[in-house]
Formats: sequence, structure tokens, C-alpha cells
Amino acid sequence: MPDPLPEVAVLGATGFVGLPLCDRLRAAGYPVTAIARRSSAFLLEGRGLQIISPEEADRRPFPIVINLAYPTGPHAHLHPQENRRILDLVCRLVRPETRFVHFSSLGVFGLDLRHPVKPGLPPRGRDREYVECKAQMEHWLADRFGDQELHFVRPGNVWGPGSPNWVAGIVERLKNGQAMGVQGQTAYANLTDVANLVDYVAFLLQQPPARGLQFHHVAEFSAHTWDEVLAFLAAAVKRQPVWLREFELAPASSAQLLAVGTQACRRSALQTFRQLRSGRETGSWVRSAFATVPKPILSAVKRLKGGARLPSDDPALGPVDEQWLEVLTCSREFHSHTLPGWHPPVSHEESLARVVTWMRAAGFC
Amino acid sequence: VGLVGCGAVAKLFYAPLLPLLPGVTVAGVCDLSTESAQALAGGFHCPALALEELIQTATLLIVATPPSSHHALARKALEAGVDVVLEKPFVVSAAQAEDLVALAASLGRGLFVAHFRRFFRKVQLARQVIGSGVLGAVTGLELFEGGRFGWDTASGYVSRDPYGGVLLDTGSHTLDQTLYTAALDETPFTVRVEKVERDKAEPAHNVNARFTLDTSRQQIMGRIVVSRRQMLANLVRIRCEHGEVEFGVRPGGSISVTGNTGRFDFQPPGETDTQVEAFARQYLSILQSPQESPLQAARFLGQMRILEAILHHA
Repeated sequence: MPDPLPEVAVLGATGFVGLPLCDRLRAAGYPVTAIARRSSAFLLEGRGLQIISPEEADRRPFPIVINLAYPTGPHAHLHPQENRRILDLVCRLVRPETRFVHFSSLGVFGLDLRHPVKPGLPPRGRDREYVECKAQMEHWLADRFGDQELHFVRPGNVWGPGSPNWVAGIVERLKNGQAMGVQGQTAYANLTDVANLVDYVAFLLQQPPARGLQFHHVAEFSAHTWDEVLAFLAAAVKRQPVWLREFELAPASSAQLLAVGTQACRRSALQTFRQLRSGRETGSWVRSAFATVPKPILSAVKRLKGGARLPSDDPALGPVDEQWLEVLTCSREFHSHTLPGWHPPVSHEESLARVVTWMRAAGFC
Repeated sequence: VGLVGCGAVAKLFYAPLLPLLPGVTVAGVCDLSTESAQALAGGFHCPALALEELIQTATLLIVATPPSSHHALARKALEAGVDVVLEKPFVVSAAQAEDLVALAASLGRGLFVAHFRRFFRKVQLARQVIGSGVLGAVTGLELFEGGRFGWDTASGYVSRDPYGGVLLDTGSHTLDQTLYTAALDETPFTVRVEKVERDKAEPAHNVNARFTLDTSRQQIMGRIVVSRRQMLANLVRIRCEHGEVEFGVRPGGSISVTGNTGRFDFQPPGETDTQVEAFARQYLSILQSPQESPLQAARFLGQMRILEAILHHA
């Protein structure tokens, strides 16, 4: 490795992965420049980082660029626009000689991994906004930077102390008695510990530069199921997970169907309008319109006949529940695909112990 | 009404809500940034005015500026005969709070503090459970609220203003939910702060404090942990002589009541709450029944004493 180590620019440095990644890189001796909005830059103070705003980002080249930024915010229909803004920023930062590491997600294969999982570009298509934006960004970056050194790091579900989704979010559902999956169904949690993930990126940067696109899947605890994880978290907060069951359903009355259909049509029309107005990542307008037809309508059609149905067809489950259940019922394992020679420093047992220690300090139990 | 402060809270909450409130006309808006004021004024179809003009035009002034400016703005408006709603946190010291409450009373004006979490259905339900006395007197309060800071504040006061720290910003919300639920917003008490840990001098982004409230009936041990940097449990736990009540600080979800015979989860009646609905209900309470509103400023004096005691604890 060169001495001194090359400067690293990090986009999305204030996030759950970004903060420990900056700390890990600093500890390894890299000068780190975090690119952050002024309103959240204070989160990075005291970590030995240089902090610059996106507007200042293209004044000098960076030998290494790591992108963790992705669209967030409450208005999912605006995420495609935000995705393009992130792409514009990345394009201003990355030069032909830059080593570029882009953080993607196992989500590029669908929240429930319904697309084939392989170390290659994911299918483009209409999907949840999160999935669609992540997949689209991979395609854009591969088109623009595929000839230089480009790494797509796809983490599994990133958990660990402070995890907003896979600890805090799950505990909140447990405490609220919300559905955690389908009874008797094996579902893979596909977890990676945040400490292992950032260690892997540090390991990756230690390797000699190599041109071309490389895929990395990091989910060292992929073989563990949600049953195990949920049992652990539920025990920590003294709760019992609530499971859904498949069940027989009597045919619905026409009045019930009309009520459900009307409500769903309203929602669908609004969503379609917003998505068509604010921009789509992929797909035709017609497919975009069809993709926003919500489950209640499809479920209502099934209910015309009665009979068996999936719990997720329950119109009482809102879009947030549906997204949770897609992940919590994932029946496919997201196998790791990492560089030879890397060994996760945090074992599964240690990871669980760290999480429960943090849960106590953070007031969960 | 007139709106002072055209930053994040104005855009996110007031812009969609104010035009929908019955009997409300937005007379004008005001901000140090002409650009921000013009942008919001366009949405309301009202003029962007200077503060003095706005006070002369409005009958109710909503103050949604950084907290350091609340006292001076509220004083000016009250003295001009205008009722005032201050966005949380009320002000930045107990003395300022007492001064404004006394001034409003002497002038016969309405003075309110916007704390919409009081109107979450589960907070109302938890208040009823504790108020019923079934769990006995309150003996302890535990508050945890934290997550990565995500507000796109225009002024940046959260990282520059000594009163822009997480305690006044987020902690005032959490503390208010708790005090209201335990009816401690109507009970006089004195405050002793035992210990405060913070990540840095104010404006601090992590605060962990232990305090004691002495009422005429009992002593209540309190702990508040708030953070802008790290995720926390985001819940309130109110311990009583014979059990405890726990609920999440965000809208929606149930309350958990643990007593001698076990734990029971109760879902509040009605549809799931949203922040916007609770925000609307708080304004309906101010506009339709100001005398009975739980947002009258006098009910926030105790909260300000706690916040001030923690803020200034070495």
C-alpha cells in the first residue's frame, strides 16, 4: 500500500453504515473526506474527517470514492429524482483513475429475493421504489464506470448495535404485536454485522487496484433464519412474535368487495399519478400504471371465489406491513460472495451479544 | 393567523395544514430569509410581511422560529394584543416562560405551546390509565428517544445555537409526552438533577440525565436519554407503585400496561394516528376551546424547569 494512504471521499457518511465506515477507514490510516449536507454535517464532527458540502465536491479529484448515498425521505415517488441527483454528484467525483466502491443492496434482487441472486447486474423492472432505485443505480454506474475499477458491494440486511431497521424496527413491531412472518415458514434473515461489513471494505481497499466491475455479496450470517433472530430479540424485550397463518376464506359479499375496491382504486390512482408525474426509473407508462395496482384489488379478485389465500393478501395489511413481510418471509438465502482471505472479525455469537448490550443501554429492555 | 419562521416545520406541517383548518385565514408570513418567506407565502396565497406588519394584521401569531427567538417574539406580539402559539420548545429558560405566562395573564391574551404529541391517541389512553389510579402513584419516568438527525434545518441553529441542542429540540417532545401522560403538567414539583452526561458542550447532540422530581405527595425518579447521533428505543416508560405503562414515542401502536397480574397491550380506539392528524387536533383544541386546551402555556412551566436544570447542570 502507498504511504501515505490515498484520500477517500465518502458519500452518505452520516448513515448507519457510513459513520462506522469512516471510523474504520480513519483507524486504518486513510484521510477521509465526508460529503454531507450542511444540515447534517455536525453528525460527523469530532471524528477526524474533513467535511465538505456536495456543492464543493468537484473541486479536486479523489483517488478513492465510496458511495453509500441512496434516496430516502418520506415521499417515495420523489426517490427517482433524488437517485438522479446522487448520480450527478457521483459523476462529478469519479475520474477515470478513481477506485470506486458503490454500496448497493441485496434488495436489487427484490425485497424477498424473488429474482435470481447472482454476482451480476440485476434485472431492470417495475418494483418497490427502493429496489428500483438501487437496481437502476447499478445499471447507470456500470454503463458509465464499468471500464475502470468499480466495485458493487451488496450487503445483506445490515444489523448490529444501533440498527434502525433490523433491531429497532423489529422490536417496535414485536412490541406493537404486528405480524412478523408466516407460521411454520422458514425465512432467511440474511444478516451482516455492520462491523464486519466496514471491515470488508477496508480489506477490499488493501487489495491491489484492478480495472473492471466486481461484485461483492456480504452476508456472513446468511444461513441464520428469522426464527432465530426474532426469538432472540423477542426474548430480550419479553415479547412473543405474532405469526400469520394461511387460512380459508369465505367468499366476500359484493358490498365488501366494492368498499375495498373503491378505497384501493383511489390509492392506486393517486400513486400512479405521482409516479408518472415525478418520473420513473424504468418501464413503460402502462407497466408503471399496472405496477401501482395495490394488493387489495388483486386480493379482492381472489376473494370473489373464496378458498385459500396468502396472509399478505389481507387488505388489513398496509403497504408498510407488506414491505416488512416481504423481507421477513424471504425463503432464499443470500450467499456471501467475498474476496478470498477475508474473515469476519465478529462472530454470530459476538454479534448477538453486542446487539443485546446495546439494547439495554438504549432503553429497549 | 400570521406565521413567523418559514423553515422546516413550516414547510412540513403548517403549509399543508393551515389552509384546511376551519375559520383560519393565513394573513401573512415572515422570515429573516426573504426567499423562504416568499416561497411559503406563494403556497398560502398571502403576502410575505415584516414582523411589525404581521403582528398588526394577525389575531393569532404562530412562532416557528429557533427557540432562542421565542421569548422576544412572543412578548412583542402579546404586548400588541395578539394571541400567540409558540412551537416547541416553549422558550429557553424557566424565567422566560414565567415572564410570558404572567404577561399573557395580565393582558388577557392567549398563549399556547404547540406540542402535538399530547394528541396521539395512545398518549391520551395512557394518561387515562395512569389517571385512573389503578397502578397507584407515579414513581419513575424513563425516556429514550434517538435516531440520526434528518431535519433539513434552514438556519442550522441545531449545531450553532447553544439552545439548539437535542435536549430542547427532541427532549422537550419526549419529556412533554411523559409529563402530560403522568399529569405532571398540572402538578407542582421541584427539580433536582443528579447527573448529566453529554457528548459536548451545548448544543449537545447526546444527553443522558438523571433527575428527581419532588411533588407534595411523592418523589419521582427520572431518566432522560436523547440523541441525534444514535438510535435509541424511542419509548416512554412510566413506573407506578403497582406497575408500569410503556409506549413508543411515535404515532401509532399500542400501549403496554404491566401490573401485578401480568402485561396487557391496549390499542387506542379510533384509526391509527399520524403526526399530521395529531398536529391538526392540537390546533383545533387551540382554536375551538382555548380555555380548555391542554396547550395553555402555564402547563409547560414544570417542563421548562426540568429542561433548564439539565441544560445548565455542569
